[in-house]
Amino acid sequence: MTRLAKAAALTLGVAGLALTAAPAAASAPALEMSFAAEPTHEILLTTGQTVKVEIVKENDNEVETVLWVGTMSAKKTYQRSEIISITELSQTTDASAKVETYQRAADVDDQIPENALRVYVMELNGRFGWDISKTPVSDAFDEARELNADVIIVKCNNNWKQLDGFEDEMYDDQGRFEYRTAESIQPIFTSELRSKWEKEPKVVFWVERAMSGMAFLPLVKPDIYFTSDGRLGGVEGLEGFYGSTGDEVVRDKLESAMEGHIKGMAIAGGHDSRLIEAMTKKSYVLSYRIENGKPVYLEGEAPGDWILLTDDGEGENADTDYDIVRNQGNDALTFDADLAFKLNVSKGTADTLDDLLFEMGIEDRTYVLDDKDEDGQSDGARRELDRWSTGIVRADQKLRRLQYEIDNVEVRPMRNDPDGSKARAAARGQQKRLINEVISLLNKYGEVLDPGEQIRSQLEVMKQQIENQQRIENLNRRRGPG
Amino acid sequence: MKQNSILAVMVLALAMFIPALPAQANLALVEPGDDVVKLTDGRELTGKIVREKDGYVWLDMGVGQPLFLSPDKIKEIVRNSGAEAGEDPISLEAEEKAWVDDPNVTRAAIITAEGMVGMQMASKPLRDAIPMLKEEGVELVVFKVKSGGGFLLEIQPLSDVLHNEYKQNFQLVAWIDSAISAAAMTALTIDEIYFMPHGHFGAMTGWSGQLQAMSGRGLEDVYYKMEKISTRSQRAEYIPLIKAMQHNRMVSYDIDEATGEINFYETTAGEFVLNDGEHVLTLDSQQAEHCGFSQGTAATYEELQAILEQSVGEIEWVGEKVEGIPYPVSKAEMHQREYREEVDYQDARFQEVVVKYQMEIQNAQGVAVERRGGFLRRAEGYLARIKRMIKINPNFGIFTVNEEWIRQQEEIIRELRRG
Repeated sequence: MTRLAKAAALTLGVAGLALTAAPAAASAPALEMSFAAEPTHEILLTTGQTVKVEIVKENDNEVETVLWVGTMSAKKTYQRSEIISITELSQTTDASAKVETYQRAADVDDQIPENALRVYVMELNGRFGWDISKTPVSDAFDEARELNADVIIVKCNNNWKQLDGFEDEMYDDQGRFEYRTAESIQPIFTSELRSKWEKEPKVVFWVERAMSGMAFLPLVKPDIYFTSDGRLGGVEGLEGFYGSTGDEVVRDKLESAMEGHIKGMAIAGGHDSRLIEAMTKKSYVLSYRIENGKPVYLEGEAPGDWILLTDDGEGENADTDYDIVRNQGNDALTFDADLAFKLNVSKGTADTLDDLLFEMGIEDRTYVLDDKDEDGQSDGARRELDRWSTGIVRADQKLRRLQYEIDNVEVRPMRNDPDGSKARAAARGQQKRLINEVISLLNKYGEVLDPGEQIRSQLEVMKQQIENQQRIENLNRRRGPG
Repeated sequence: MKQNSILAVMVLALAMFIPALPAQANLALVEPGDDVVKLTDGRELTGKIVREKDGYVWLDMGVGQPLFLSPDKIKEIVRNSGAEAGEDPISLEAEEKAWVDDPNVTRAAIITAEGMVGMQMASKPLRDAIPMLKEEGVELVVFKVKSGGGFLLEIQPLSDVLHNEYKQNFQLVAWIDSAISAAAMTALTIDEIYFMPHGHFGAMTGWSGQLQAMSGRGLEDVYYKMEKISTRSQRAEYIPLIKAMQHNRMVSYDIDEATGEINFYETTAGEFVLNDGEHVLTLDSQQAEHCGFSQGTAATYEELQAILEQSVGEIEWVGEKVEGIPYPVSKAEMHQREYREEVDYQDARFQEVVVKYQMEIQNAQGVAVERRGGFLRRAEGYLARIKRMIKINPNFGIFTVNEEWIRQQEEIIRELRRG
């Protein structure tokens, strides 16, 4: 056995032990639950079979159940990969998180005055394109729909820190031009409101940090408010996005197409598309002045009462380090609360939810939905977003571990296996099981971890290779080497 | 070979043969009242559908437990309850026509063209949809475009279907969500263009590989193609604008205050400059409407209806409300969606299938001829799947896996089998 294989064996052994230990630990809370006297859910399996169960516990990979056959029941755990769908049979149990949510929603509904505006509040925090992704935002909106929200407040507060846990933030020019994530999420705030909701709610963005790719998201709507320290921008870099690759005209074309997408989002939100150019292109020069209380823009620089918003960033116009560290640069546009308000991008500034509701003019008839802990945020939204964040961190860690395990599956000697073929077959089986586990994770978190499905595709090929190795060995064993 | 091994091979051969039974042969066995489930692998199964859920189907074929089929395996279901065996399902549905031909009402449908041009956005599903549109009495087709471009070679077929077939049968308007590159070139076929507020249109520069621009004759060919397509939609006066969408060319325009006439210039001399010559042009909805390229902007189909009704009178939308889709979904539109789903699914697996095929061939090459059977059968299976994918859309793997390549592979398999 090689040293690597021994290490792998140890790893596998530890992983195996951990896996064995996990159900025991997990079963403790399950024991505290009172089992319902009847099944609560129906599970449709990939085999086509449907089973009636009570769900005891769920995680990313497994659903632990009590399986019902007639009046008899027994514990049974299903892999997520075996399940096509889970359908609720009744509302009489609190066994699953979903049911729990609805019941709370019903409780909350009972307390709402008839003429109240039902406000759902969610905060998008964490890394944009990681913690903040389409699925959790969509799930939170689905919950808001279940609760018949009239207004949805989306607080934008993406992670813009230099280091987690410290206050120092990144500089505006450290942002990255990226619009795909915003574009994938934005239909939730626009077309899906029309297609999924009976009565379209009003969506209001409340900006604390909407930096880098997140900056485009609030602009899809006209109703934007800032916190007093709120900032939106840090998204320069459209020009030169493709570096020196290929021909200039093709780079120009691709930049033009990307600009078309992001300008379109801002236009749909009722914002001046020139602001998008100022945000994303360092060479773009834009001035403004206020006429009759409204901003008027001029491309280029002009004397008189025109105020320069962004210069061309060339030569002595280039932002200095002094400017950049103090957020005073003007090569590309980043909004703070004052500027956003001045340019009518923001409708007001508020640091607390009460202040925001006051600014919106609805403070006296608002009911914040599903906020049992009274933290100013709907609990369900927090739960959906936290569940995604936790899940994706775990999935990422698990993927790394599984990759290592796949690469280092050891062929362990077995009894009555003189030529080692059984051991090799078992090792291959183990590899295939690990690969299936990875694929199952990618099916759930693919939008972030494998958006082009390339990893899944490679794993399918790898599985095929393993099967072929087994086939070749079987052939050789039966007929001798050929 | 031992006798039971021979038997096993025969059973296997039969098992492989049964799925390959031609469709007609299967249909001939259909009993009245039987449903027919057509599978994506070409097979057609008959029996009684005893259960359905979320696209999954349980088919009772009269023997054993009902067969469970997942949606990715199902191409089409023909429900024959009470119908003659083999009867065309479309004609059956036509008998249930639920609309009245009212000359004062224009029946309209939205057809979406999305994804990559030449893959998800292709001429084939559009052509397939024409009888469906006719069956539902559609007179006005809204061609909603959302695509970042794709294969240049599909532009002409798309334009031909729209110009020669759609325009002959329906009033055709475009509704632009996102039309970039080849998608924009395609939409130029249509005379009447509307934008969504976030809509954008342009960036039509042809390129390949590592961002290499088209040049020489290829470039001229694209320019000429655009000129011809623009002529199809009476948009010859927009050629300066269209050139600026293809290359870094200047374009500006004036609007005659008295007549409203718009004149384009291939310079920046006009009052409104769209491109200074340093960039490639992509129009937004405001620019498009201002310069007359678009006839209006509509965020929803209701807004679009309000604009269109000014010229065509009352509009009745064909189709059903489907959750998550913000407009009525007609049969023709459902067909576009199903086609795209199928192409998406196959596209994500195409390279994988090709690699798996190559692996089986390599394995077969690595063993003695009498041991190649299993590998070659699996290789043939993958090759059959590749052929089916190409049948769904000939543009799958167009630059590598063409008909010639398939013929070569079939020969390689024969050679390997012979030894």
